[in-house]
Amino acid sequence: MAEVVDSGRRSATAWLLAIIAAGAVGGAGFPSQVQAAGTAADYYRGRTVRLVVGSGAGGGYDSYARLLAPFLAKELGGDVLVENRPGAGGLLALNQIYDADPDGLLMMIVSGSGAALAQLLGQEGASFDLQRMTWIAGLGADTPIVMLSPRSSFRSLAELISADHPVKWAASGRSTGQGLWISVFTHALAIPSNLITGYKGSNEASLAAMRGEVDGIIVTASSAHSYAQDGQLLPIAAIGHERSTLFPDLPTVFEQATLTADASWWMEYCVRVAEVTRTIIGPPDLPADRARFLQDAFQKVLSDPAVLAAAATADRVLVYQTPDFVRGQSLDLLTGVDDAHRETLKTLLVSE
Amino acid sequence: MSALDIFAQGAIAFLRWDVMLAILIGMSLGLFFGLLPGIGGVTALALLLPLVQGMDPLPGLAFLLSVHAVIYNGGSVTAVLFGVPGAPPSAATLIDGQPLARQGRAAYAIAAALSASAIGGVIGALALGFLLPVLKPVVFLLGSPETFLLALAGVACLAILGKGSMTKGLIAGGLGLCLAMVGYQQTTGVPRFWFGSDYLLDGFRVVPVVTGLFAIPELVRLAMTGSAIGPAKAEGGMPARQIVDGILAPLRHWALTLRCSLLGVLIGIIPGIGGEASSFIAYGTAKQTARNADAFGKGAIEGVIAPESANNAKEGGALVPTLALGIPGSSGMVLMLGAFQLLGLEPRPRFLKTHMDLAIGLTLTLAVANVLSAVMMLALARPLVSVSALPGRVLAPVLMAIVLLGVYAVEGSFADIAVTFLFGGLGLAMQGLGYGRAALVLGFVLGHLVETYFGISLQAYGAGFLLRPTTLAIGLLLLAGMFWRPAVQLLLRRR
Repeated sequence: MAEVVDSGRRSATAWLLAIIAAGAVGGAGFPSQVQAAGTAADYYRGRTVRLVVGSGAGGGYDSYARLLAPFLAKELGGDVLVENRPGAGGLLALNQIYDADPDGLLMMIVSGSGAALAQLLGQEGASFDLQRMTWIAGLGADTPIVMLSPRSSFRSLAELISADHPVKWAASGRSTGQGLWISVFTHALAIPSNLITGYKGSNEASLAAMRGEVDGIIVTASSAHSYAQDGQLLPIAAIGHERSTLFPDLPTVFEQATLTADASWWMEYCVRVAEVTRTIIGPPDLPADRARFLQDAFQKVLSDPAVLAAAATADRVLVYQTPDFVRGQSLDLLTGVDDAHRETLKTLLVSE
Repeated sequence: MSALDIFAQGAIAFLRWDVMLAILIGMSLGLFFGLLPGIGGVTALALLLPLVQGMDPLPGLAFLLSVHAVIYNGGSVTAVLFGVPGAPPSAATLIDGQPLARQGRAAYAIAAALSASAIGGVIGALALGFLLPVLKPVVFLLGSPETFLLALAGVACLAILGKGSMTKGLIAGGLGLCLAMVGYQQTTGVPRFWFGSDYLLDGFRVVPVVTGLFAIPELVRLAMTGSAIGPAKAEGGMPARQIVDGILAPLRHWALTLRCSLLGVLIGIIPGIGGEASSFIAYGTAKQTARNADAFGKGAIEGVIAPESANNAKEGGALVPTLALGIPGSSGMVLMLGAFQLLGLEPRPRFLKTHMDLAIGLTLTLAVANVLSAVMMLALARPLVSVSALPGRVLAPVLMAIVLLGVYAVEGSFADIAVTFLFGGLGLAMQGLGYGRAALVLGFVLGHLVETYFGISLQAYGAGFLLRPTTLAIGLLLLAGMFWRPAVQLLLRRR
């Protein structure tokens, strides 16, 4: 509760600061919305905006950033520089963004749900407060797909639920994307499981499944789509209320299993985590006119047919999500968890 | 259609002027990036990737692949000449290449390094060509237990990497293993020894560590003595005789070259192991099996040949899982995969059925780029050798600036520069006290791998993982590869 009140006070402060900032930049006593937007456009013209990626070159987030950068540069009327700041699974860069100057020239592409969970679980090295961040846009949800190895003895969701020995799963870590989906999904359906972590990334974990080192993995639909070809891995269920457009014939978990009330809560949480993945955020207290300008720019870029075509060629999901939506969903992951569920989540995701 | 017909088709598709041009341009860029310390294949590919958009698939991919294939050749030349490794894998070349340069035999060492690279690259390409029809089962054969075994075999080289004293080698290697413990434990995600510093959460990064250990002491020495790197009379600068000898050296040691190349291919196929590991493991096994093990570290040409052949052969191996499964075998291949997608291609089993000509074209690219770049670098080596004849007090500040720029450019982090100096100090101390810095790097690089893949193997298969047939077979092969020469020698001596 305290957090909600706090957030209200914070946003009031932010508004006050924004009005002062807009006044200062506009040089007028009572800047109108139009004037403010105009000044923000002037501000960005010819400047260099840095789009930070919290991992090294070559990963998924990096590819998205590099895909969007040229289009964004055109929209902002300046340069957009993609900057890799790997470390601590993106937490290092996020801490730096949190402490950065709110001049509007620094943004980050980050997993909204990943950041929320790191904060919720009090992960070591997470020293930011998502409630204070400036949310700019979301790049769309990618439905998680449960996939089994063709060499596994399990063949379907029903077989997993009635498993008499632990099902082996692969992920890079417990609290990162795939590991989280596996932990929450298997907990919700009471599937006896052995989550093997330490793989370098989703690629290596998928290879382990293909090789039969583990029984299954859970990956985003776009990755799953490529692994499903030629029967390298078998998709058995989609984690979402609607079927994935890439797998129209694959029933969702909700279609395939009857869930108890508590199991439903966990599956819902799993779905919500998948809803906010790649988001664009800026430092706290960004001047409102600049934040607005960036938000508009992203909206235009992410609905540009040329951008969508480029994403489709690169086999990347890209759907515009409003800043309010991604902010709401991420903070809901953070605050919409009661103490009992939070404790369970901790035991599921934090290994000692 | 017979296999030969398919190959001929691929070869004809490959012999096009635009493909050749793409290889030439890619190679030149690759060598340029390679000369800058710190900037490795991944950074270069990330920068150049957007350029291929809209290109024809084969020239586009050939361009990027040739950048990536030759990037460490440039770094090896600076490693030999200035003691500044262009990239972590080149640090292994430096151990024997630098002493050779000091003896006035820089041209010999460089020619041997380039020739070994070319041969290793061609063997890597040949191996890829042979594996094309059976890519999938080969990739499936090499799992976490095999990765663990290979890393363990590397650790076994620790003791022999010390200069002279085995105890000192073990101490240095142990220190490397300890340094590898800093940051997240990969299997549990629990951070250790990070002292509340964000930077240390991920552990030390390999570029600042290697650059600090090897380049800084060399630059300090240069600045202090003020004299040139090579002897005043560098035995004729770049005598043709040295070059010819150097080019022939890997052929004279053909068994070593072949063995290290195949080791490189194997390491390349396994996605978990990086380039640093391949060149240091190759160096270690070379010293282990050499008759003149005492000469290593003092200018043994085998010490140059081994890491160079393994490192270039590795990319042929890394292409195997990339082409077979769409799963990259190295971090550079992650970007190559991005390029495939950018060009509207999707590597996976079906890809090979429909695009075998392209796969053959890429195999040939790898071979051609490796050979051509060696030739090109030999021509470039001449002016570089004359640069090394400049007095140290002129050269040291310039090199220092380039090194620090390179370290900074990798991640854009000033902390990396601080770490470079920290390890520079450690490198100086180790040098003074006679501890092998290579053993430290090997321990540092392999520490992660051994711990992680031991953990995964244990979780996935239980304690019996070592007794699985494939694990057992590969384990025995590795042991045989490492110990057959000493074992035979021992038997002969007994008799």
